[in-house]
Amino acid sequence: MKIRIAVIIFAVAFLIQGTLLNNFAFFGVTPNLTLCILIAFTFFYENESAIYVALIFGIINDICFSNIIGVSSLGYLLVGFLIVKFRPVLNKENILASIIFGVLGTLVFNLFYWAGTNANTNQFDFTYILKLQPLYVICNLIIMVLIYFTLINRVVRHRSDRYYR
Amino acid sequence: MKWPKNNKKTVALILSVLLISIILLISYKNFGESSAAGGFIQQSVATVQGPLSKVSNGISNGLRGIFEFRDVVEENDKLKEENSILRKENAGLLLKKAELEELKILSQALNYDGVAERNNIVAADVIAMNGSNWFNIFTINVGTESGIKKDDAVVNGTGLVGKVIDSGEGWSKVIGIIDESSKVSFKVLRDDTLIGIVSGDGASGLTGFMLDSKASVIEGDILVTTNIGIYPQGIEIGKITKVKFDNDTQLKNVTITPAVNFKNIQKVAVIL
Repeated sequence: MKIRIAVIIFAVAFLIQGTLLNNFAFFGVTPNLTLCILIAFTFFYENESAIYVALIFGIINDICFSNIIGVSSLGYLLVGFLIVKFRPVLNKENILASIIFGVLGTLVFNLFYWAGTNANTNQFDFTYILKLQPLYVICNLIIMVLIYFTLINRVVRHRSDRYYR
Repeated sequence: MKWPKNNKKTVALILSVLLISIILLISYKNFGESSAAGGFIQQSVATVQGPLSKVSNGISNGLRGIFEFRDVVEENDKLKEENSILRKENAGLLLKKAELEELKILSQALNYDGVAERNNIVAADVIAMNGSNWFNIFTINVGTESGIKKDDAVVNGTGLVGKVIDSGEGWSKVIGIIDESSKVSFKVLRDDTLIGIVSGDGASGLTGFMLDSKASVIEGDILVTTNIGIYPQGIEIGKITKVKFDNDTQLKNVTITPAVNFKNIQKVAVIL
C-alpha cells in the first residue's frame, strides 16, 4: 500500500465519519472507519504505512472532536503494533482472521481510549462504555467484512489455489 | 551509530510514541484549550466538511422521505397544528413586545441597564459530529466572523444544546450539555424557587441535584436554565425522570432526559 493512496483513503474515511455516517448510526453508534481501515490495511498489505497515516488522522480527529489530543493516535498505534505482531499467525484469506482482528482491535482501542481519557478526568462511566462494546464491535465488523470482500481479491491472487505460488 | 540506520522502523515507532506522548501531556495540562495549529487544522477540515455535510444531510433527508413517508406526513400534521397554536401565541407576544419596547425606552431615559438586550442569535448548521459516544463535541459552520466566542450558549428548537468551547473563522466547536464536563444551573419551570445543578452522567444522559434537599420536585417536572453562569434563563434543559434522596450526600438527586435529541442535531442557534 503506497502511502499516498493510504492518505487519500484515510482522509475520505475521516470526512465520511464526521458527516455522512452520522445519519446511519446504529443505536447511536457508528463504526470507526479509521480503525477498520487501519486493521485491514496493516493485516492485508503487510506494511506499516497505514499505522503512521492513522496516527496523523487520530490527531486530527482528536482536535476536531475531543478535549484531549493524542489518545486516538496512541490507540491506533497500539492496535497497529499488535496486528504487526500477530499477523504472521493468521491466514489473511480466511474471513475469520479479519473478524478476530476486528473484534480485538475494537476492544483494545476502546479500552485504551477509555483509560487515556479517564487518566485526566474521571469522565466516562466504565460500565456504560462496556455496555456499548457489542454495538461498536458489530458496527466495525460490518465494515471489516465489507473491506475484506473488497480487498481480498486484490491482495491474494488466485485465492484458495494451493498450487499457485 | 549503526543501530538507528539498521532499525529505521523501530526508530520511527519510538519517535512517534514520544511525539504523541508529549502532545498528550500538553493536552492533559491544558485540558480543552486549543492552539493556533489546532485552530488552523479545524478551519481546514471545516472548509471541506461544510459542503459534504450539506450533501449527506440531503441524502439522509431524501432517504427519510422515501422510507419514513408515513412518519413524515404525521410529523407534518403535528407541525401544522403546533404552528397554528404558535401563531396565536405570537399575536399575544407581539403586544407584550410593544410594551417591552416602551419599557426599554423608559429604562434608557432613566439610565437603567437592567433590561438591556443581551441576546443576538446566529443560526448555524452542524457540519461535523463524532458518531461515537465518547465526547459530545461537534462543529458548526459559523465562527468568529459572526461574533461567536467561547462560552456562548447554543440552543435548538427543542432546548439547550451546549456551549461554544472554541471558535475560528467559519467554524466553532460546541460541547453538549450531556458531556460530563458541562455543568448547568437549573430551576423547575413549575416553581422557579426550586433550583439545582445538572451535568452529564457519562452515559449520554443528564443527572443533577437540588440545592435544597427538601425541594418538592417530582417526575415529569420540566427544567429550564437560570440566569446564573453563561446560559440565559428560560431555556428548556429537559424533563425529570427520576428523583432520589441520597442518604450519604444528603442531597436530592434527579435524573433528567434532555430536551434535545443529541444524536440528530442538524441546525442550532448560538446566543451571543
